[in-house]
Amino acid sequence: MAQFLQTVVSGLALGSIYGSLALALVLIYKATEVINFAQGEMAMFTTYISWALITHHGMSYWPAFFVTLLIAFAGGIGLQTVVVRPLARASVLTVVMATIALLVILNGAAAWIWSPQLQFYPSPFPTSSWVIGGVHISKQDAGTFGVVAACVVVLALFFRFTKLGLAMRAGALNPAAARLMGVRTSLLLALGWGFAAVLGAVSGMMVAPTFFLTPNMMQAVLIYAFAAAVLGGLESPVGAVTGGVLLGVMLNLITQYVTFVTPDLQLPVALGILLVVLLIRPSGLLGRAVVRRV
Amino acid sequence: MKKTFLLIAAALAVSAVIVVTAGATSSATPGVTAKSILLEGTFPLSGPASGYAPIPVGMAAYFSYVNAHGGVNGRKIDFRYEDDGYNPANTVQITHKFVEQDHAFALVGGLGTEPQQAVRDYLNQNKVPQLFVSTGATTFDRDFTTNPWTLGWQPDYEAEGSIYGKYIAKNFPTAKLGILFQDDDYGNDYLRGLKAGLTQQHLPQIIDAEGYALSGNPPATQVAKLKASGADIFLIFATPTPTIQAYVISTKLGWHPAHIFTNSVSATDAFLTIAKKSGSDNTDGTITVNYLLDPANPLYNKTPGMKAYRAIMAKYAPKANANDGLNIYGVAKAWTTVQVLTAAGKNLTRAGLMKAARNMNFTVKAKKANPYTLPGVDVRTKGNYQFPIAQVQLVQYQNNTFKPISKLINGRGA
Repeated sequence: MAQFLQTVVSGLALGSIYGSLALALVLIYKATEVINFAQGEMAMFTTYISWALITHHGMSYWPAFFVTLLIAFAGGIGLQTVVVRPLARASVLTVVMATIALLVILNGAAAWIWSPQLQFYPSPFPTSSWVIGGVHISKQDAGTFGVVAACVVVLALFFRFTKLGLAMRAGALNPAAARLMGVRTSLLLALGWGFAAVLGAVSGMMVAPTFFLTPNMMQAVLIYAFAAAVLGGLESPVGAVTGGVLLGVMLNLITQYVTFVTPDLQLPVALGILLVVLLIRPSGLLGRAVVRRV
Repeated sequence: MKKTFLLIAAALAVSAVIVVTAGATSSATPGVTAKSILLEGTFPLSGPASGYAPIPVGMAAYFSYVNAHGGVNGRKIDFRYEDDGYNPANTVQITHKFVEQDHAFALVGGLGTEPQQAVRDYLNQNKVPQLFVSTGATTFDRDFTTNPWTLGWQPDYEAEGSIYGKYIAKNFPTAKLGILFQDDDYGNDYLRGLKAGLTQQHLPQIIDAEGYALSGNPPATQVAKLKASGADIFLIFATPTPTIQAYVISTKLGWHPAHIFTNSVSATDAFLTIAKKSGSDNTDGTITVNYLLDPANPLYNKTPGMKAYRAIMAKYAPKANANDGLNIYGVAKAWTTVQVLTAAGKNLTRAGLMKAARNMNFTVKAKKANPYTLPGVDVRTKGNYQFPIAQVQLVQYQNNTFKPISKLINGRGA
């Protein structure tokens, strides 16, 4: 039993990491209806900035954390303005291609600026564990989980109760109508990228203590984060994190108890689960079905 | 004005191309001119194995040093390396470019078992030396009859695994062994060696072996299973990132095995320090093997090799962290490369280079030992014996340094 619970707990930790990046994907999708393939690399890049602030500029963790969030916000808006906005009238596919280009550029830039070597990245949480009934719960994992949960709550409140949040949703769902109603959609799109970059930065700074800081740190996470986001429903922040956690726990349980699933098969199994869910519920577990008149 | 400038630039570029092609065709051997030798290699400067990125930096530093002192038989070494991200598909592409466009004389130091396996057939078909690959996969040394143009350099993983096996059988004959291994040729070489070293009699000591794939997820379930198996010796046969994760995870699970053996590839001070900083209290006491001078250990500060190494790094790679042992690995490998190039003579051919590499005798006895390896380590190949380095010393990690705990042991018999 302790073994089972331990597997679940470590799955929760892994899942909250997937969920944290999935959250940023969902935010951009909600605000702009575009999947941002560069999300992981944006997260990695900002994590390097925080690392540089801590190791090269002598800042302590939390000031560096918040300064990084500000930089991420500005960077997200900057990227949207420079790269995405000029493509406003292009097809979604073009924008997606642009984000893939960004992925490659950011990855190369990080390696060039900070060297591709594996670096230690500090965690704000203690490295010790609680032991409850023979199950070890790492404080670091619990902290990550808490931070991600807090992000979900803030985001859900933001979209539901603030004027800005409502305007962003309106701008994404029906840009023309929103513009006619006096919503400044271009500003909102930029803000959407800014907020997603902030969430990405949070995700990167939570991932780095476990995966260690390298320019490729987020690439494996990104694939699982996509799966998590689609699993939970691309529209729903709660769904993204739920999807991430479910995925993490399921993968762990499967590798633990289903003997023919070797570690090599983890990713195929994850994508298999995804496929089945999409066949049954095309909008994801917590997504709304979208009806379009054609 | 601008136009004239462009014209001149174009003319210069064209003449440069002509000069370069003329230089290349004037010599029968690709990559060799009267003044230069072109050596190239692929390394993971990015990707899951980018921890090894210092290796080519060390190699380049040593080649620069040699060039500054006259080069090899009057020729300067032009060493170029490119990033394959530890992805065999990239390795294939870049290696084709090295051979077909750059016309490299030989490929040196290419890193990674799977990446180098992916280009081995191609290089052998084209008779391009694939020298001193940066992997200890046994096949690169053992299978020389089918791959006459390929040779490894460092102690092979099977030999290293067998040394752990012998040591455990002798010193911990009743311990229960739990093994974490990368489920590919790399990890399986170690596993095979370990079993051979334990011998049939001690084989039942292995009570659990858990594989993982290099797909990115930390080996959390595997380490939990190993802990649950009741193992009291934990053996880690993994690449750096999963190794560090295994240390951190075992601590988080409250697992403190009596002994941890970690393969030399991952048990470097740099990686163990990251594990320690990331919260693992299991790094102290780690047992691994070593065959090079260890820059992180003051024990070797007075050796001539270490002094030379520090001077070379300070002058030719001032930005690198000279305390990272991967740099001296690069320097030691580059030293061997220069020796074989020298031995191949003034009339340099690919076949001549291979002949020199197959008959290395850089030994203490010949008074030509590699100054950057541990005193007593021979680099030797002859006839049917093609395992350049086979001697290692068991070392134990304590207070950020590796303390020798055995004499040199030969992993290949004797």
